[in-house]
Amino acid sequence: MRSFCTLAGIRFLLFGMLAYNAAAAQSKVLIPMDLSQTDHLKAYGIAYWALTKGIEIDWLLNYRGGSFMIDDHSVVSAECRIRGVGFTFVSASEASQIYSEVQQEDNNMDVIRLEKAPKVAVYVPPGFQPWDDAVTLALEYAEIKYDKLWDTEVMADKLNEYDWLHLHHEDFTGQYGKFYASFAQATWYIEQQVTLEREAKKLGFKKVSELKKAVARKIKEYVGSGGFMFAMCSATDTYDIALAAENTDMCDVMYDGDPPDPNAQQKLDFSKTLAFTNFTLEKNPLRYEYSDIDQPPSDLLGLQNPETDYFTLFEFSAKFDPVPTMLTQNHVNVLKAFLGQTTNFKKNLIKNTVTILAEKEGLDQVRYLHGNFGRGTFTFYGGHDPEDYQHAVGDPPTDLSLHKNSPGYRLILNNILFPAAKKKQQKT
Amino acid sequence: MNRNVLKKTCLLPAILCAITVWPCAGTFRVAAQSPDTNNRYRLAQSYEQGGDFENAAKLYRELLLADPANYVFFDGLRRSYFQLKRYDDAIILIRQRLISNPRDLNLLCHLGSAQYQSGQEREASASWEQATEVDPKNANVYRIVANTLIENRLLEKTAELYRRARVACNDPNLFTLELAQLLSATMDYAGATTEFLRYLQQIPTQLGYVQSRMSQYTGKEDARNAAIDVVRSAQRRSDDLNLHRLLAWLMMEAKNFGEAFSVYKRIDALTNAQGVELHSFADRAYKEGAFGIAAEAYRAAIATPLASQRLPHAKFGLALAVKELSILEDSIKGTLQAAGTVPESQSRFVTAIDHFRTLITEYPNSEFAARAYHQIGLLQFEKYFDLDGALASFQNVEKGLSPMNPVRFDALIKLGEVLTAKGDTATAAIRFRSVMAAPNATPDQQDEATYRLAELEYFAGHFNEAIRNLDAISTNLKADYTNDALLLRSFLQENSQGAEIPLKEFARADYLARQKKYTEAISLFQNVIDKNPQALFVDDGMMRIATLQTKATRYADALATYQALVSQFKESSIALDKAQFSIAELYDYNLNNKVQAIAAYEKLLADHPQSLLNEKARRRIRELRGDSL
Repeated sequence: MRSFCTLAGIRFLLFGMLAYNAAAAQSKVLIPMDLSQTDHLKAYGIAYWALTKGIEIDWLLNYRGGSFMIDDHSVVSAECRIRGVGFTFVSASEASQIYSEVQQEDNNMDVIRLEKAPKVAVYVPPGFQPWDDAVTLALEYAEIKYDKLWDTEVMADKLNEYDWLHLHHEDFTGQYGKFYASFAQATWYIEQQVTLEREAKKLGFKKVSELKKAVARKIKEYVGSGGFMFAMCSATDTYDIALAAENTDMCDVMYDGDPPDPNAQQKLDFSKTLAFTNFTLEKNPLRYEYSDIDQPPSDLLGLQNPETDYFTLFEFSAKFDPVPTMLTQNHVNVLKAFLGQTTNFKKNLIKNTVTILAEKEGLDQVRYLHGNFGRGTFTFYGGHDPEDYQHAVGDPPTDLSLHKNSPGYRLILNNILFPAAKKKQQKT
Repeated sequence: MNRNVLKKTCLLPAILCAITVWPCAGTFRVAAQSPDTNNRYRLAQSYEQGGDFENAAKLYRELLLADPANYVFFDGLRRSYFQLKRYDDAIILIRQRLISNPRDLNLLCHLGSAQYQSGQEREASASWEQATEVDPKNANVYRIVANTLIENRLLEKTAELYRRARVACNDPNLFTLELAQLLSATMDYAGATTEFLRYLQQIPTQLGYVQSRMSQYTGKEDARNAAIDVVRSAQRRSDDLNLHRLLAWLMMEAKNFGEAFSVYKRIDALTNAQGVELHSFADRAYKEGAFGIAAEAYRAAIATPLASQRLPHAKFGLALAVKELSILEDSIKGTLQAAGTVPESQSRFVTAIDHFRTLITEYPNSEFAARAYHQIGLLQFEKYFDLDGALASFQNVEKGLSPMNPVRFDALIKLGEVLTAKGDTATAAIRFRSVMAAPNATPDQQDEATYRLAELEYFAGHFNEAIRNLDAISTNLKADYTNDALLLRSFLQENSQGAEIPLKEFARADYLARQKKYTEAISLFQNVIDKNPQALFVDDGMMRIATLQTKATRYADALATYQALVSQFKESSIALDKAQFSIAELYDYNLNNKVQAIAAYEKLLADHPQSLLNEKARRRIRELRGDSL
């Protein structure tokens, strides 16, 4: 069963000082997550590893970049050394002081107890290689275990066995990433289309787009029943587009063998989507873009200047909004941007129930957002690879050992630990 | 005259004329309409091009009602219905038209598409079947129907149709490339390869083209294996050269050099190449690091026999391959016992040396002979520490190769090293200087010679001269020897101030170590350390003693020396992390004590968190404890 973090963001006072004072009665290992940390990404792996060993962790939100405090088991410090993660030993009294500082009302900090290693699934096609997806790269580097799922498993309700699901640059619209104009003759594109068509037929769907819509709905059910879904790049907007297009066909003939519904735009049902509303579909089948959600559009990315391209994390109240605070833990609050097929989300197309976590200031472009659906949550993060500004098909994989302190990758790993958080009781 | 022939002769131009005129017929008919009809037609076209299919359909329907025989109006309405996904209306429309043209191939194809899109898959199949029956022996009919099937993404069905067409048209080679491409796209690699072989049989000169097409899938192991199976199977039926070449290419792609060699033997025989094919293959296998197979192939090429101008190349290649094999099989990996003894594992270099010596005998005074001497010299010096032998060999290279030849400069540097080890440092210096001054030597060779000369000056106690030479290299960040030069320079700068005499002793001990006089070197290092316990080089001296003890397989002594260094110096030596790492490596590789090795690596991580050796230690701990990395 999934552990569950309260989404209301109300502080659980009963579990407050007493519990932490008791916990602090022994010496601790503090894994700082500020600029002193030698390997931020592997630090998340240590936290995950400790959870798998049954060792509970306190996540000190906003304390030195979102540090981790763990009881001083000798295996923890040894493992930190082996994995190259910076840590310090703190005595019982020092630990008490830290907890006390974090708990002070006038400090925007809080403690979240992490209890159980979340079971992680990644939605990827067969034959997928981890280096073409920032999340799997991060999971591999941080040594966080994950399983791969694909349409067959999703349609067989296997999602319910997992706490956390990641979607990357999957195209849920059934247009094969809209790579037709550039790669229609490429072997990988042709084989991908044939493979997906076979998969669709095997599962009883005439078209890939119909299968993808069904998969999107299954994922929505999973979120509704308490799952945590994290999507990046084109999996964000195409996911919502697929949900909205439940009753229409938006795919042109080269994608599904028949023309699109001329009234596809009018038939979109925005009540079905999670994050976006009132968007306009891109009808040109040869244009590398799905809708007007993505900003700037993919064919104008060349005009971006990497030297001046940054986005800013919002600050939330750790004690009242722990969830967005967890998701935005970082050692910097202005991050280097990076492009993707979907880079930023147009602000006025985001539903007002959604929490914006990061944006490109002054441009109405949202980079990172979070929302609730049913008993679960979803988080969308624009861009493809936080350490490869403009990742193209066939580019070499990013070597994360060269980016151990990547703030962009940290945002991904915040999401992995978020489902491990202990449920806090609501104040009322 | 045969009436049938006459009929056919007259019929053919008529058909051609009809085909040419037919597409224009509609236009002609439209042009013949009233201006109002023309305007309405153009408006319908505009609606269609603008994506307003509702209005386009409406206008096309009205136009068609007014002129039911007009194909252009019909086809405009059909297209609009398809765009609007009004497949049932399209079916009715097409059926109506089929009443007057029941054997119209295009109409039947369109009917099938409309039925398929509306979910009537069985009816669609029947319509397409009917289309093929319009002219069942005409390949073009199948081509048109196949295109319709592909438009509907029915790829497997298309392949089936192509195969049926071959039978119906009694032409087993029909649609070869189309099928190959289609089967490759549907990942039926065996099927695709079969078709490519069929194509190659038809046009044997197209081997390169077929390889390039097949290379689209042979990068994948399963696809390559499927292709190999098909080619092998074809080979059993025919001894065709192209099949052998294709199989050899696939084997090389799979890095299966053993199998590739067998195929090349056959190719060499079939083409009467007299070893040329085998020699080329051997060179390629050698470059790929398949030394065993390369050696076999060289032997086979030489035995063919190869043409005389190629023979020395092949023999030199064979000797190199044998040498590489000996290095791979050398369990000692270059670590020598006391000078003069030859470990059993190193006796196998004798075979390689014999090959080089045979070459020298067969091709005296040639470049091959000089290069063979160079290789022999390297083995004598690096594997046997046979200084006299190596000296003679490198001197032969010096004489045998032109002053412009880059191998000669390598040999001169080695000659200097041998002379250094023999104690003739003056002659060694002459050799190093000659390389430094040679305009044809590469910058890397000049840097190496400069570094070796600086070492000589250090051994002789001429520290300032040594530093001057090291300066020349250490400012060149591109030089391979920059790191070594920086290390030696900083050691000399640190220790030469006020401790010149003990440092000269230290340098002498280093020189003894270079001469592999380990016992004497250890004793002299210990003596210098004992007499100068406050000198800055004491920790370096202890490191050197421990290293020499390790080389002399005195592991317990080495461990004790490293541990003494770690405990005596604590914070005051920059070599502590190296010492701790060496302790771990001793446990790990020499004493085979996994538990102690892990503990020693962990101690390095705990005591020296900033050490550059930590990454290696981390990796090794994880390997030792069996983590999946």
